[in-house]
Amino acid sequence: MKFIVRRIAWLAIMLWTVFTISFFLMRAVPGGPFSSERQPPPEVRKAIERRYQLDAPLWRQYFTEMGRLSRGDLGQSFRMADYTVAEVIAAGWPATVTLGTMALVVALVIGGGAGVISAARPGGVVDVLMRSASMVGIAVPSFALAGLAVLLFVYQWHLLPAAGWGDVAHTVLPASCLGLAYAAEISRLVRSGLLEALQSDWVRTARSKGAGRWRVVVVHALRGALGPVVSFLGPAIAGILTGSVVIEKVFAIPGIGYHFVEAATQRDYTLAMGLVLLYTLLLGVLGIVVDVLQVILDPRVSLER
Amino acid sequence: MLARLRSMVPALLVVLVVAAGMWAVSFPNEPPADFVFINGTEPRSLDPQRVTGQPEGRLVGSLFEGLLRWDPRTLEPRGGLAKNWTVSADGLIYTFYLRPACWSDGEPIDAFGVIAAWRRMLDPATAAEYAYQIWSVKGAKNYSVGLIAKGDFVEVELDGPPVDPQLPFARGRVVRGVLENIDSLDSRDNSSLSREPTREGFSDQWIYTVNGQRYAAASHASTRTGDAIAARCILPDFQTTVGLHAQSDTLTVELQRPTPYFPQLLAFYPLAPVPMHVIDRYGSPGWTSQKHMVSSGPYRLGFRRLRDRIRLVRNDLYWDRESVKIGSIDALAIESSSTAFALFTTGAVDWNTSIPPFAARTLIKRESPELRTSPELTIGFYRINTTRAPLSDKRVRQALSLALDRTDIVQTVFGPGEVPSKSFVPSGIESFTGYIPAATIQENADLARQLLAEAGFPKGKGFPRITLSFNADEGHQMVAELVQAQWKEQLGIDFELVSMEWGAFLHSQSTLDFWIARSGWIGDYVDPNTFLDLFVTGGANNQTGFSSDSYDALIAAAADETDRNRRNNLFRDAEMILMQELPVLPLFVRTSKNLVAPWVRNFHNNPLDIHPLSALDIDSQARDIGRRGGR
Repeated sequence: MKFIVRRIAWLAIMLWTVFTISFFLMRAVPGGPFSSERQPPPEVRKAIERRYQLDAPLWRQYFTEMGRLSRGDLGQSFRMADYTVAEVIAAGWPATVTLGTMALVVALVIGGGAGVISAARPGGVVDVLMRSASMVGIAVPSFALAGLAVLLFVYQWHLLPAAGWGDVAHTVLPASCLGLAYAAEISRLVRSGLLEALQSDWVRTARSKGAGRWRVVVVHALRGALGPVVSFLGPAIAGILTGSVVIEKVFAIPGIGYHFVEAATQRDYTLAMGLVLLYTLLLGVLGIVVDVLQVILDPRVSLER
Repeated sequence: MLARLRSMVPALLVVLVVAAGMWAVSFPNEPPADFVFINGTEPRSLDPQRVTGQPEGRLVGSLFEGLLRWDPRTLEPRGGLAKNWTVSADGLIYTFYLRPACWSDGEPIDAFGVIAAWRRMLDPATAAEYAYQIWSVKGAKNYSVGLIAKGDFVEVELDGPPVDPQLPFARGRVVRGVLENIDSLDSRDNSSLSREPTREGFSDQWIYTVNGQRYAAASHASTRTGDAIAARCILPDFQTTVGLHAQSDTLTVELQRPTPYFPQLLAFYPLAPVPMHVIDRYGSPGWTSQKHMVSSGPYRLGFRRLRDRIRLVRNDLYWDRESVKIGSIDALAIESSSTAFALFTTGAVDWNTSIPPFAARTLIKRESPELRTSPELTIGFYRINTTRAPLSDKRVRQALSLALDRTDIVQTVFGPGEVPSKSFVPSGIESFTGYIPAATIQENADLARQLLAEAGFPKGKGFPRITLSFNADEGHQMVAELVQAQWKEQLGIDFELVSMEWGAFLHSQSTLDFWIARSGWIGDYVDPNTFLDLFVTGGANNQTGFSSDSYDALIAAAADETDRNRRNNLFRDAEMILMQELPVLPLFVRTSKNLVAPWVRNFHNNPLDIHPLSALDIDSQARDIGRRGGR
């Protein structure tokens, strides 16, 4: 319990640090939310700046914004003036979660499957192929994979929609591109975990009782091999969450990752700040959850030092 | 307890994965729209008074009807909410006769509503970027800038609850009267007398006396204001100082000076009236939400999904509903031109407004029937910072211009069909306005070298190494590389190319922190003024440091001239000066490029690249076959 309280306190300090750094970094970059190729007359410009309080001294803007954020008010988006930041997050959240979940399912199913098949005949042709594929999967960045996938599945074979959001077909390409790298990692974890488990006493016992080869691998050994996979899920979810920033942009998926990229390029101060803090919070909470889960899962791990 | 949890984990994990997968693939089921197009970036807003961009314009222009509207073929202003109008002989008084029309909630639209909507646009609190589009109306600029002085007739908007509790977002109560005095906030401070404001905006530094009553800014809650009443704002009196008058279905507009393009401004979306009865009720931006928005145009808002799509549905209460052919339209918010191109080629969209340069070159070469191109009223040019030596020397600027081979540039970068420009005003304007641009730019490398030598840089010797900047983009980069090579070859000058991120690039221009920078200008309306008034001294879009008294005088004279020929001549003389002084190097007239599916009818090319959605039609049979097959 003490551990959790301490971690939450650290998270709060982290949020404040991230806020301060982002606030000054954003303002230090040239250009603002209302820069445009067509300059309005100076009087109009002044009216706009006054309305958004951009004419106040920087330190006052800093404290105003900190006060607002600490009350839980993320403010109004600069660039999408009809929406508050909270509304933007609410609108983008489902798409990001859907994409992330699909990617995780892809990672688990393909990664787990490949790992099991590899481990069944270690050193065989299938194993070598699978391991090479997973090596490539880890090395190739997701956006490169996305380009290739669009070329093949959209232009060449007309199988899947090029981009957009609205039905299951739209999720296949982005979720695969996002999930495959993690599938590769998971297949390696499952394979090595399985190989280790196959050497263990309980597996030998199962074999000696006459269980078939597949039954030994899937029922008896796999359970023991799951530990590393579960602890890898924390970093994997974090990676998928941040990785979806790129994939959402490539496939024009209206999730928070896409909003994040656009907020940065369009100098949408409030939206960018809201999303930076959201990501910080999510990753922080994820870290705490994984640590707690590990205690539940593994009797050897303890939180209190 | 923990042990039991542990043994359940694998099973829990499987259940969780399956459940998450099931949830993830459940999507709301909506019928597809009849017509889908790529609209570019997510619109800033759907409030006509708060937007300026083209993606916003396509939507707002379909949701809101102006007093007038464009003819999609000729771009001539036609009757919209106004069925016809008259102009006085001196070009100063316009009278509009409104037709019976109503908002999509059945509320009628009358002349008072139009004025109330325009007042909102001019109110400094609205911070409308395009407010200056109606500054040609008498008194409008003063009201929108909010300058007041002692003796003026003013209106005071009081702080406090609105008059009608049903309309919580309406303006506060308004008191009108003569501004008798402006005092310093601190009554003991006698020095204020010496620095009494001459004519400036409402500020919390002063106490204002109107009709014997003292008023102070509401934001300044302080004991020092004494008996003063809290006011939100004090502006020149709208009713008596702004030239707008209403009589149920007649609207009279008094202009500051004759503005021949005034009807065009009325057809432009920012001046379309907004529903004040809804705005006063739900506030801004609350009124633009899917739930509350009410429209007056051919379409109403179906739904909005952020950075995904905006669905427009035919407005059954639109006055000209019979002529609207397409029932529902989806505007996709897609920024990347290669994604947009992929969607068009796979038949997912019917109209693509943004084409990647690589695809455009190929399509032009293949003479694809789906590619519709038309010279636009848009000039691509380079800005020169005339405040920095050696660019401050006119001969250097002329040499840079003379040494270019514009035809080579456009042919290489854009392919055939693009037009190099020898004037700043695009040549396409002639057929609409009779204005013949001053195409006096020459290309002559020998003369260029001679001028450069006269300026003290024979064969480019001693010329400082300066930069040519552009915003990161494949096309801009190619143009810059060609220009760089031509200047190097012809003049012996070596420019450094700087590719910049958009925000930083704009900042460098507005602060005059550049040497030579790529730029472009899209005409706001079909008139030479939209191009030439950019370069008056101190103009917000001048951004070259250029200043010429005779140029300023010519532009000012043209603004007061009612005779079309004489006005065109004044503009022409001004453009001659511009092409002599060359604070800008015109390069080419941009060509609009749209990919339009073969089943789309009534898509007309025009130089403003404006394609009202209400004018389009589709052959649905051909579309269904085409969409299935892909392309």
